[in-house]
This record gives sequence, C-alpha cells and structure tokens, in this order.
Amino acid sequence: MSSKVKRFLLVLAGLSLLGIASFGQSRVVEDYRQNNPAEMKLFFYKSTLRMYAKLQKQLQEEFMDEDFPEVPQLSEMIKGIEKVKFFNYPPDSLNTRLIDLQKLSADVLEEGYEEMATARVEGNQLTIFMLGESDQPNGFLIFTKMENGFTIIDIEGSPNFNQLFNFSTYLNKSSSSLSLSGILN
Amino acid sequence: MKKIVLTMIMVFAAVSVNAQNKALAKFFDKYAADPSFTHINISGKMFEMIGSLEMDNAEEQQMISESLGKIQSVQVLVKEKNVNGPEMYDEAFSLIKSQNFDELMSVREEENDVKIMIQEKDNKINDLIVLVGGENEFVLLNIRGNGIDLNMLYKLSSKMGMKGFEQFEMLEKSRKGN
Repeated sequence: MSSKVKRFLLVLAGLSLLGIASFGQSRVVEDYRQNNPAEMKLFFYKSTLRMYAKLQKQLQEEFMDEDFPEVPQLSEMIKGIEKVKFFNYPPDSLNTRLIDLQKLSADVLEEGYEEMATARVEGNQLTIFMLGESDQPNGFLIFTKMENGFTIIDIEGSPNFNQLFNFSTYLNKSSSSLSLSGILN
Repeated sequence: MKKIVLTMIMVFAAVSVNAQNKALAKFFDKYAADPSFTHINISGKMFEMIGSLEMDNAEEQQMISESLGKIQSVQVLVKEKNVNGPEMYDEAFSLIKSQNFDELMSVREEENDVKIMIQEKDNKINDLIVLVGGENEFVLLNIRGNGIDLNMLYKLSSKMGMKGFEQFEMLEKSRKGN
C-alpha cells in the first residue's frame, strides 16, 4: 500500500472518529448557542464526569450508606455519558424573552431527534428529545423553561437507566407526592 | 369478490379508528395549547426504553415488559383552578361516547364525576381513559397501547411507591371475570 493511500485512509479514519464523537450532540443547539450567548455555560467532559462519579461514590460510601443503605450509587447513573453541555438564560435576559421554543424544537426534530416527553405544569415547561434508538440512545436534549429562565441540557451518550429507575423508585418510596389518588379521589 | 369485501371492511375499520383518534387528539390539541392547563405527553419511545430495563428478577422483568413496554403513549390534561369542570367533562364525554369505549367504572362522589373507559380488541385493552369533572376541576388521562394490563400497571406503580392505582387491580379482576 502506497504512503499516499495510507495517509488518505488515516485522514478518513480520523474524520470518521470526529464524526462519531460529535454524533450524539446537537448541531442545532450549538448554532443556537453561538447566536444567543448564554449567561451560564457548563461543559462536562468524560474526564470531569469520571472525576465527579468517583467523588460522588466516595462521599456516598462514607456518609450515606449507614443512614441510607438503599440509595443507588449516583456514580453508576452517569457512567455511559460522554459529554454534557449546560446552558442557562436567566428569565429577565433578552435572549430568554426572544426564545422561540417551538421553532427550536422543530429544528431539533428535523435534525433527527425524537420527542420523548413534554410536560407543562403551572407554566413550567419541560421537553425531552432522544437521538438514536431506545435500546441504544446516542444522546438526549432537555429543554426547560421555568422561573429560573430557559435551560438547555445537551447530553452525548446515555445515562444508566436501570440505576435511574432504582433511584426514582427510591425517591418515590421516600415521598408521597407522586400519587394518582389526588386525581381519582 | 370476497377479497374486495374484506379489503373494504379493513379500509373502513382503519378509517374509523383514525377518525376516533382524531376526535380525542383534537380535544387534547384544543386545550393543550392553553397555558392555564397542565399538559403532559409521553411518547411510546420513552416506554420502549423503560420497557427494556433489566430488573432484579423474572417476575419484575415480565411486569416491566408486559405493562410499560406495550404502552404507545400517555397524555394528561389537568386544570384545577378557574375551570367549569362539568362543562368540560360533558364536552370530553360526548366525544368519547361516540368512539365505542366501554365503561369500566363510573363514580359520582360529592361534586365529582369520575369515569374509567376502555377500548378492547381480542380481550386486550388498547385505549384507557380516565375522565374527572368537578366544580372546579377537570382531568383527562389517556393511555394508548397494545394490550395494556391494568393489573401489571398496578403492580408496577406499587413497586415504585406510587399510590392511587389500586383501582386498576380491582378493575382488571372484574373485567376478566366478565
């Protein structure tokens, strides 16, 4: 194989890897952020997430296990997440007032994301989108519009849903707020 | 000739099911856009994902895949302030009444009317509606799926510590008893 062909294949492989690496995050959201700078920006990369997971695990083992032995390890939940972007636009900022959530949602859907759930409760809004298949998600997008402004969470990868389920089960058992009896009674 | 008749019946059935879905969807669309209503919509993909969770034992695994895995969508519309509950209840019920739903349970308690209705095919629930209308309260819950098991929903909700689904176990038993 000639060196030119080798170099071409290496460049192609590199480009493919770049393509895969950026596959799970939204181009639409990135463009939106470039045009509408957020007040608060947080980026969590694999290394930061690992560090956080390790710290969380140590803290839980040290302080929580005696009092709350049932609490699932938070570190286990974020294992499959590659990258997280977090943007917040405060309620009084111009960018928040100008946000066209419907347009942004439509653009995200056109990009290939699927709408998983929408909720509007007492004026607060939440929308969850997923990229990829339900058995192997590549990424998630979460839009919230609440009292603290407009927030975008862009996740590459997928949290551990078994652990999330265990955690929500734990939370629900510890709280009586999630109840259908209020509706039926 | 038989084939033509069969095809016509299938087309008619498909059109009528579609019309049914559209009527209820229109009602949801009409009020979902109003910010004074609480509106929740969860797609089948979400339930597919939850349905693929790995549980601790075989019974729990069956519970998850046979209840949540078969749900195609859940939609909830609620208003608890400044609402003419009985009027909205009547509006929703007149739409649902024309859509071949079977009444599973009907309760009138104090000022609240509660109805639980289902659509079945081959003894499997494909559509479940909970409708509540009161003095200053309106609730419409719609669960669509392919074989919704009320008993499994009850078991799952109790495992998750969610209260209020106890009626579903009783309803499933009485439904299968009939």
